[in-house]
Order: sequence, then C-alpha cells, then structure tokens
Amino acid sequence: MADVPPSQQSNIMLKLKSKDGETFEVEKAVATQINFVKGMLEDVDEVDGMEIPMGEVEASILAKVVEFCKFRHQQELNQTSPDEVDRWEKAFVQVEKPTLFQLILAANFLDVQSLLDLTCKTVADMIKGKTPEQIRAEFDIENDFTPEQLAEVRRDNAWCSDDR
Amino acid sequence: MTLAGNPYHESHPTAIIDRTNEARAEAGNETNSDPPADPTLTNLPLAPVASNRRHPSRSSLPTPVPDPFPTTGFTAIRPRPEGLSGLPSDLAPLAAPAPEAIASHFSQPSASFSLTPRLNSRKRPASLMMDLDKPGRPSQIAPDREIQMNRPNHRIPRQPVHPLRHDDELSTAQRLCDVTLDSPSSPGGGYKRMRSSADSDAGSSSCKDMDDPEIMAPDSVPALVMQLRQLLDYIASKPSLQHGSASFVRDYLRTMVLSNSYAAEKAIQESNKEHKLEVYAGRRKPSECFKFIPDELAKHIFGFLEGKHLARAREVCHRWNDFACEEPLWKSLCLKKWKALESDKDLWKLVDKDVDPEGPNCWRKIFPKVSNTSQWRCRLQKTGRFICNLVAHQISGTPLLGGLPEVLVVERRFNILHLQTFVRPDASILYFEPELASDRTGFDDFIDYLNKRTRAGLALEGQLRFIFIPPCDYTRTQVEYPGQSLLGVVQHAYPLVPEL
Repeated sequence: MADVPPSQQSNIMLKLKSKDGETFEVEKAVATQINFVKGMLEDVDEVDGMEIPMGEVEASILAKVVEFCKFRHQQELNQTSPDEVDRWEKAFVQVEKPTLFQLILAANFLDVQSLLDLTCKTVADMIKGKTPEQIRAEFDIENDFTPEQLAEVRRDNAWCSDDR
Repeated sequence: MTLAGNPYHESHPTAIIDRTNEARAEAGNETNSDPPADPTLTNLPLAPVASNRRHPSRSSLPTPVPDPFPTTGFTAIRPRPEGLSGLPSDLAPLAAPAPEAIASHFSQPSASFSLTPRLNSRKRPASLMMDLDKPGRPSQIAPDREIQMNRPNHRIPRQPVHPLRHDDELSTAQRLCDVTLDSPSSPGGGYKRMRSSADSDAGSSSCKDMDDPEIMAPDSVPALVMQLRQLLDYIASKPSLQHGSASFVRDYLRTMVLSNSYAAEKAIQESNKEHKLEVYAGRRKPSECFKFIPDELAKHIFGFLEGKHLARAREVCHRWNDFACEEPLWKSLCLKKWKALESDKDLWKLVDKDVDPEGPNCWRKIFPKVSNTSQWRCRLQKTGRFICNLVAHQISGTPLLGGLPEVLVVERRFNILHLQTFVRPDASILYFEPELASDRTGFDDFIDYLNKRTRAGLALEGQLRFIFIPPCDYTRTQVEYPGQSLLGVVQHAYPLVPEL
C-alpha cells in the first residue's frame, strides 16, 4: 500500500460490488485494506471507478467491511489512540450473532486479517466464562453427547472444575 | 468523494462520552433530562432513556424546532413476534429484498421514504430532504442466505447510514454538512444558501408527532435516518448554528450514534433472550450460527480462548470437543507460558512425569500442570554487567511466594561440589529460560561461564539466596533433570543458630 503516495492514491476510486449488485465506492487506499482486492489489483492496472466483484459477500455485510476498512485507514493516518480504537471496535461488533458470523465468513473470504481476528475474538469472548449449558444456550447448540461420553470429557476437565 | 472524506471516523460514538455535555452546552440546551435508567450511562444525558418525548423535561428546545436530541421512542421498540406484519404497509418495501424497489423508493423525494406515514406529512425544507431521501446506498436488505435470522426486526437492515453523498445535485443541506464537517473553520459559501432555504422554511417543520413508538426499531436505518433529518431540520431552523465551528454537529452526531448503538445493544440482548425462551419452549428452531462456520475458522475462534475455557468448551458437543482437542491450540497455550517445552524434552518430566512428550495429546495433557506453575521474569546481571532477561518457572520445593526480584546480581561463584551440603531439602527449585530469542546468547554464555570451572553462581537478595546451577551431576541426580538448561535454587540464608 505504501508504494504510492497517499495524495495520488486518494484520487483513485474503486467500486466494490456485492453479491446482490450494490456497489460501494471507496478510495483505493481503503479498498486495499482488503487483501482480496489488493491481490486483484496486482494482476490488473487499476482504473478510476473500476468495479470489483466481491464474490458472495452481501451488501449489508460488505457495508460493514467497508466501514471497518475506512476506520483502519483513518487509524493509520491519524494514529488513533488504542483506547479509541477499542471503543470503536466494541461498537462495531455490536451486532446480532447471524451478522457477526457472516462477518467472520466475509473477513475470511476477503482476507482481512484484523477484521477476522476482531470478529473471532468477539465470539471467543462470548464463550469465555460460561458453563457448557450456557454456551449451548448462547449458540443454540444441541448436546449430542451420551452421558458416558460427557462423563469422560468431564474427567479430563477435572483440573479446571473449580473455575466453573 | 464521500462526505467530508470520512466523517464516520469523526462522528463515531467512541469519542462521544466525554463530549456530550459540551454538545449540550453549545446547543444551548439546558435539558434537565431524567436520570438515565442504566447506571453505565450516567454520563450520557442524551441517551434515549426517556421514551416519551413529550416529557416536559425534554421539550427544552423552543418550538417549532424539532428536539435536537430526539429519542424516537426507543423503549417501545421491542421485537415483536409477528415480525413486520404490524408495521405500516409503507414499511413493507424495507422488509423485502428488492434493491431496485428500495432504490426507487428512496429516490423519490419527500413523497417516498415512508418511514412513517406521519413523517411524510411533515413539511420540511425541500432542499434538506433531497439528500436524505436519496441516499447513495439504498438500504439493501439481503435475505439471509445461510444463517437463519430469528429476530422479528432483523430484516430491517442494519447498515451504516450513508445518506449524504456527493452528487451532481448536491443539496444545500449536504453542502452545509460538507463544509461544517470537513473544515470547521472554512468560510461558508454553503452557509448562505443554507440559510436562505432555512429562513424560508424554518418554522413550518414540526416533528411533534413523527415518532410513533410502534414503528421504529432502534437498530434500524429508518430510526437513524429520521434522527439525521431532525438534525438537519434543527440546523436549518437555527441561524446561529450555521456558522463557525462544526463542534455542535459533530457532537450531535456522536451522541446520536452512541444512543443508537446503546439502544441497539439493548434490543439485541432482548431479542436474544426472547429467542432463547422460544427455543426452549420448542416454538422455534435454533439458529446454530456455528453450523455455518468452517472448521478452520472455528479453530481460529477457539485460538482466542484460554486453557480453562477451551477445556470447558469440550463439554458442549461432539464438534466442539473435536475443535477444542486440537493439539496446535494446546501447544500454543503451553508455549505461551513456557517456551522451553518446545525444545527441551527433558523438561517434560519435571513438569509432569506422567505425560509422554511424544505421546498423543501430549500438549493438552501437560497443560494443567503448565498452567499451575508459577513463573516470574527477572533481569540477570553479573556485577555491573547485564547477562540476559530470564523467565523462571518453579518446578518443585517450597512455593516461592514472593517471586523473584526484578534484578538478580550474581556476585560470587562457588564449586558445584558444595551444592550437596549447601542446598537444603526444602529449597525451591527453579527452571530458567531466556525470555526472548535475543536473550539466548547471554544465557548460553552464562552457562558456559559457570561450567568452565564447574561453578554455581550465587546472588543474594535480603534473606534469600539464589543459586544458579548449570547442567552437572547435581542436576542429573538430585533434580533428575538430564537436560541442558539452567536451574536455580532459592532458599533462606542459613539460620544464625543451626538447628540441631
């Protein structure tokens, strides 16, 4: 990303096109936060206003991805304080679970590592400190263990049983 | 170019909290708002805690100006089981996944964007409406292809609002926003037009009846768009706000976004609760978000868990048990605490003699012992000279409650043969490893230095003696450690009166 001075980069606008046909116009410097786009631009000469299909990512999710990339870009430019970044990210992942999981899939597909880490960590935080029953309720998971199998796993976990 | 480069960054809620009062002060708003319902929001007087806008304390702004801090009936917005069926028919397009329909819906000025029927009946400055009525990105409601949504109001798109967008037919209000948000100090060419349009129309707008609490979902585009409109209306009606610093607008936006996100959070929690109850009652199928997550991503998620949470996750179901048993996860957890486990197989016996370092699931099996081991950092010096940074792990003996001092200075060396008599049976035994790769050289040199003359190093700190022992007969026979790392003994100085 650093190979072109920012002043020139900002001139080039790219259109990211969602699966359902909506386009999001962003600066190249923002779009290249998405490795998927960056890789694509390595193979072709970018043109102002070029349209880039974003695969299976739907508009509602792509909008979030774009917001994330814009913030990252701003963060790089402005040296946003870690506190502020934290608060922004906390608000960013304040979405319903289906959206959060779709964001994980999109971040993975589009190869935006920091977004993937943020969303995965959010899910991990939902798991932390919960009993297995609470986790099942949180994620609508069915307990498919037989009592014997569960007992066996519990035996393995005897070492952390105090931390329940 | 989008509005002000990236106004989202500026207007993000992250910066709101401490500026809220400022915003109110600038707005000349002397609201004595009700105490926030949520104690965490005590510093957010503008949060939509009072659902009733007609509350006397909220009508602090002179009419007919719309309330600059509208609450839009947030509390009334509970997810309703019947989904959108209760919404006015005008909202139906918002719930249907037809982009074109929505686009055209949005692109017809005032007649469209039927957030609420009453809203449309309002007379608002036409110029102010255009930009909002024609957002750059029509709200697209993607039917959730893979993941079943379970909330009634989820279908109202939750999408960052980009209502203001550069366009050939740039509206006056938009110019105002461009100017104010972009460069607060710039001379306002746009202000004049803004003012004229505001002058002609201000006063005709009244949003008294626009917030029907039955209609807005807190976490919906319509709710936010309406608030944006109110902001523009408010600015239009207040000549004093059309000049100078954009501080007021910025703070207003921040407050708006924060209150919106707070309301969204509440709504999400509420709907989760409701959803869970329905699942338990058998009325609804579980959503099972995790089902759509490929294995490698699930493992990535599990990689953010600590050991005890990872262990606990095994009890959830078969699939989770498989993920949570992945050796790479346990290995990285172990190595995070104790790097030397990777290279020093002789160490394993010291940690847990029942675990075979080559056996299956060895990392998961050794983890409990690893996580129970105390460890400390410390800077090792010879007199006046830095050697390396160390991590010390206690492997046996009396628990070293006070830990290690920050700096240990090796002042003397003595012959390893004396260890047999010098070390007391209850001494704490430590295992040392270099903290970082860059500490490795100093660490190895120190071992060589001791070994060259078969010496152990001694450091004193208060009543404690710290003995550094290189690999030798003593470590092999007494500690049963045949490896090559540095060990340590910590014990109290000999009592002045020897025990008999």
